[in-house]
Amino acid sequence: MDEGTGTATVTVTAPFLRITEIFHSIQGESTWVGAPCTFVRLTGCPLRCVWCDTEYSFHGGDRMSLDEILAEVRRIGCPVVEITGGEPLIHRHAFTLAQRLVEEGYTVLVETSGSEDVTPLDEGVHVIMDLKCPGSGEMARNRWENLDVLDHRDEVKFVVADRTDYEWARSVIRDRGLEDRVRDGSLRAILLSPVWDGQDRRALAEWILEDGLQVRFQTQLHKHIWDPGARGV
Amino acid sequence: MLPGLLPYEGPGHDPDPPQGGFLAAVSLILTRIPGQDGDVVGSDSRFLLIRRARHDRDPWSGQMALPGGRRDPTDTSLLATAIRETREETRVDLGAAGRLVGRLSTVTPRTPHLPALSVIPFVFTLSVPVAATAASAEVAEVVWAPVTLLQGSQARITHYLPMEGVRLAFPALDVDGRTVWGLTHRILDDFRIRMGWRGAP
Repeated sequence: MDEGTGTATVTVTAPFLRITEIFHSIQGESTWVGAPCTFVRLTGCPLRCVWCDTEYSFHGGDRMSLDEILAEVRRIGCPVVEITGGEPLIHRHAFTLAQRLVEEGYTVLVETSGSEDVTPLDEGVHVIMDLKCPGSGEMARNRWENLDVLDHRDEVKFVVADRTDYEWARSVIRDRGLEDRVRDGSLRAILLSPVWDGQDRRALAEWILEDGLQVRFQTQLHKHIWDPGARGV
Repeated sequence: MLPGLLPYEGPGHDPDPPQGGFLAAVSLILTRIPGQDGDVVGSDSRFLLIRRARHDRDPWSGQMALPGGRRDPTDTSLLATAIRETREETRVDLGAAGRLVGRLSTVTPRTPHLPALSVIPFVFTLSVPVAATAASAEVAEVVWAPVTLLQGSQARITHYLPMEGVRLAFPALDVDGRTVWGLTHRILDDFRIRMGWRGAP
């Protein structure tokens, strides 16, 4: 509303997203670990996981149109792109961004806490979805229906803070037949990752071996390469 | 200065108002401070919140907030705005009893229907205990909330709000049955992160 003349003006704005950073790095997690990847980090998250390593993505950020984001991704020129956060799927235009990237021929990964509905994501997207363990403080946010939607492209990740988290993850994996799903190809992988500064890596590895759990043990590769607290890597 | 906070560089560095909008300042006031500079916020510290009165024309009607408000043309700086608004709303005289220990990141509302607004949060400590009262018609209640609510994870809740046909989830804080979310939560969360408080499982 223009108060000076009393005429209403309608501004048509392009779809936009709030972006914390767009950067080119080595993928540090998931089955895509080690691959060069462009990361598009969206601002904002409704969760507050106790061990969160990206709290700087909760606030601030720059407003960018989808076209500006796509232009930056093209400029970087890497065939693998990850949309992450924060929690990227609280932004409805994140779904549009993922679709546009798939249509342009990129391999598109979306890393999500699992608190939001992943159904509207383009079928070509590789979803890497957390199941929040008790030690995160955010277990109540797990949206279990999402498990039924994941397919052969998608991965489930447990971030383990202690033995209780490990045992919880083991029950979920066994009770819900997730190992069978990986075997029959209806799920790409189950990932278990220790909290960087909390869970002893070797202990977690040994628990997995003792139980014969058919999962992939991971640590965050980028934190071995660069300073564990560094941004933009 | 409290380590981790941003410096206030004086009125010459106050930002310009956003296009078609206005500037505001709020005060995050912490109490019960042991004497030394190095140990400003103890686990028995409290911080001051207000509950805004219900008012049809206030977009934040009835919500929990920090004391503060719009810059007045007579304010010599945004710091002066924060001090004046705090005095008018709660009778706490930061000019006399408060010590400025830094500021937090400027925040702006994310929801399109809210007014264009830039809010600059200032952080103060109180050297002596000061009584706060709901001193203006805009304030329904004042609450001294324990700082442990920010340090731990037990007060963290989710506030759900229907918006444009979808249910949106916002991180929020439970202060004895009152929900702190939105802009005020973002300011307190920024403070928590700058203080290095991670919460406990």
